[in-house]
Amino acid sequence: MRYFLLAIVVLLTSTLSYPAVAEVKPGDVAPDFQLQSSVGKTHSLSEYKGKWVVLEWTNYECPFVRKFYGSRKMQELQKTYTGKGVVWLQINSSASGKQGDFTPAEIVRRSGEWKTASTAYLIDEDGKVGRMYDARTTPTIVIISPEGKIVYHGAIDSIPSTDTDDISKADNYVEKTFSEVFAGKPVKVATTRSYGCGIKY
Amino acid sequence: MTPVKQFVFSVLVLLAVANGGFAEKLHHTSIQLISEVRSFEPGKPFTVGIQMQMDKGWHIYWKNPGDAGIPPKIEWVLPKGFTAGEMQWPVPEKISTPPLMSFGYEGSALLLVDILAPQNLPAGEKVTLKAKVEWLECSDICLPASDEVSITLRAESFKGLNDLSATLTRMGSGMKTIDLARQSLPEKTKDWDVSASRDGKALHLKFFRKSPSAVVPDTAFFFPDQAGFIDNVGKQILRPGGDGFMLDVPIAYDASANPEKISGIMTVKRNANEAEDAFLINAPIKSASAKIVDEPVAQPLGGILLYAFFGGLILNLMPCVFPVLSLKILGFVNAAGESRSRLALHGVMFSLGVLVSFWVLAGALISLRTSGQLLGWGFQFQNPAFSLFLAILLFLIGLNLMGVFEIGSSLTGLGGRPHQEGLRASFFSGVLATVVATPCTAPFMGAAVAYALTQPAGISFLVFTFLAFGMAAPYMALTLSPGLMRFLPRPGAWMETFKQAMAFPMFGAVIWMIWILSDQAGSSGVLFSLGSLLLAGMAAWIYGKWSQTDRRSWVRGGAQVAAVFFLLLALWPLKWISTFEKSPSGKSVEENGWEIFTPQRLEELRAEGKPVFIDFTAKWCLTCQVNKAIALDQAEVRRKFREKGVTLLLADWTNQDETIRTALASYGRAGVPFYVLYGTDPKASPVILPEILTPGIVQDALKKLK
Repeated sequence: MRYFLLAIVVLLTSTLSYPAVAEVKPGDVAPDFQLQSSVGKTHSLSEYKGKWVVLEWTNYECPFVRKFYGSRKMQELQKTYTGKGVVWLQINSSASGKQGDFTPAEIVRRSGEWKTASTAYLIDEDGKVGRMYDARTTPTIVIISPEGKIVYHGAIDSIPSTDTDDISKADNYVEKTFSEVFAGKPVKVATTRSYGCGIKY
Repeated sequence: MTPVKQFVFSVLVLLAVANGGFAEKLHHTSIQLISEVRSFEPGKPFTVGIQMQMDKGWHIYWKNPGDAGIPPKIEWVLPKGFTAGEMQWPVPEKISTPPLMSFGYEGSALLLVDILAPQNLPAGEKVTLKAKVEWLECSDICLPASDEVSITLRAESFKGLNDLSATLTRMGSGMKTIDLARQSLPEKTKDWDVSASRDGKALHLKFFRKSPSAVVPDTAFFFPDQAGFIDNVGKQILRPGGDGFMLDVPIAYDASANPEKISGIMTVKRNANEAEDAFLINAPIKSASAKIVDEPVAQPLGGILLYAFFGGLILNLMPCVFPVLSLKILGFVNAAGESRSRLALHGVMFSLGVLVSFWVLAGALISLRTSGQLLGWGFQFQNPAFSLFLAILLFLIGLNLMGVFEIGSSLTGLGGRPHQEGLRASFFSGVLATVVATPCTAPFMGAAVAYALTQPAGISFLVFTFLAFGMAAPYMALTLSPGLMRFLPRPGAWMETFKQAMAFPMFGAVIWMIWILSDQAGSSGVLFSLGSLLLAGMAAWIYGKWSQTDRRSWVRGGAQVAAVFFLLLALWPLKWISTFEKSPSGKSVEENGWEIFTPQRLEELRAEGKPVFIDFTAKWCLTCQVNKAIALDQAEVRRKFREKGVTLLLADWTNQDETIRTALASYGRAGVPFYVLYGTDPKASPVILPEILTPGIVQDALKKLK
């Protein structure tokens, strides 16, 4: 009988499952969030309903991110699309004290130095929003429709490298996605495997 | 640090010191180009290696870097005519930074590359191989790095040199290091047949035992070559079962790759103390077809033991047990009028009999397995000698029950002195019950037995022990329950009549054995078996008639000698009955609407999109016969089969058959009965029917068939 009970206990405990991962698929409703920006303003996703939104996971010290800022490609993208009414939110999910986690003043200084053109730089120190969107690397791009649906999730472009020369050779997924949705066409590549530095959760 | 790493490390330290130390180092990985040769022969390949040595806390990436990172890249600058082969990656490690998982190398990594030199190089010519290496190194932070390394080698003619001087001329400083690295490169495994299938959530890698010495590992991890396919952080679950094991690798919900075949490196660990072993995997991905393991097996040991217990319990209700049911009933009747403690002792002895027989079975299976024979459940019945032995034994028990003869301590404990001798009889009936009952698998039990047969001896014994507990449990419970006493009638003359009546189930079981023998040893086998029974009957009769205590001693002695003589004569065919040709069963089978099962035929039918039903059966499996009679052979059921255009395949395991054993194992089973129904979709998983069939169950399954 003792063995029997033991066996039951073992059986029950063994069926406990491990926690689920956040799943973010194109077509899903983009989960809402609220974050403080580098200039102390609170931004929520829901306030941008009716507009196209780009979420760009960033880490100014990551060589993959520097590839796009150093070459000014990222700033160009930000400028082009904010110019078309798109909301561009940079998000940093580095945990407190880890690489990429700066004081708001330092963020403003560095962003100024790079002349970034995003709508805001949001600080996600506890990584909650990063995990919510299953962001794994910097850069990671998420594009959200005016209806609040995710239309693209993944890498910024098609060549995983830190080499600036590759930028012009690669397919840029931000450009591709917007050219398709603005033309009223379906998004051909809606998910890619993002590449870069692991986010420092 | 391994000696190799130590050696390489000291070399690097020396080099660094010679160059003025690490002070001005720009990155956290130092690289060096080493070669196994100093002089090479034109037209022949040789191996060089990029030795990468990471600072503590830093890592680089494997070809599939996992969630983040990028693999190192080598760009060769080679003299004209030289070609470099592909990078040969050593076994990667898991680099966990929750919630992310990367695959790469910490400490050091040696990336081997084969170089082919052109034919037309003059001896003595010096060539410099140059490699531009780019890599990403990460600790908490990531840094891209690049470096150039080179090595100068000499072309040499080896003509006329003996082996020793050729080796000495060839030998480069990196020879030993490269040799060691090459030996630890993963290769294909000889232990397992690997196949892969997938469903929406997981990739199922199935490992079928190819070599008897293969041991199911404790832990395993699969590193796929393809990036963006599996869920890198997800837990990979190892499930022992059938004749091997399965590794469930979760597929990323956002998988960007959808490969048609899977390749990669599998690392396994037998137990915590042993070093990790690794091998290559390369298999096409079939959409989920035959599952190696259905749910019951997908459990850890605790669950398996639970299944074993319940399996044993239910075994008591399987038709296989009917013949010995009489013995069990007799045991209780016999107990009438005994004290409670005595009754409990009977229960214990019966359980002990069951337990010991299960241990003997387990011991036999395990020792046969270590000697390289792979057997399934009920294997004892695949030997005609065993069937014949059991026939003789059951026949003698029947005669004994009839009162033809009595042994000092009667076989069933119903002799003149039940109070003294009954205990041994209880033990014996436990043994007999097990031996006769075990050829069939009961629900739950199939999975448990299949699991046990693939495990180390200790675990096998544990599983079998629980099976025995389960089978003995009702008897233990009955003999221990005070209420039972009230149900037992008073002892009396009726007991003798009842005992005689119980002989008939025994004779019934003899018929069953002879029927099995008709398949195993043909009509001559049946003839000799019946002859054996005749002789055994004579032995019993002589012993019963002239060996009573009231006979004179010389009569008794003579009778005993004669009885033993006839008994030996009866047992003699045991020696050679297996040499009779088995009866060809195929023809009669086909007339009946069944086709003989072969894996090829199954594949064929599946590929054509035809539904298939497979009946894994054996003549010695009474449950199988009952299922056939009450369900599968019913006109109504057969009509449904025809309506649905189901091809019926019969896998008859009465005799030893490796094809059928392997097929069963592929479903995670080691015994019969077992029923599988495939639908028209070549990609869909089959339906597994229960061990006990009713027409309703089969019709329902057919109705749901797509």
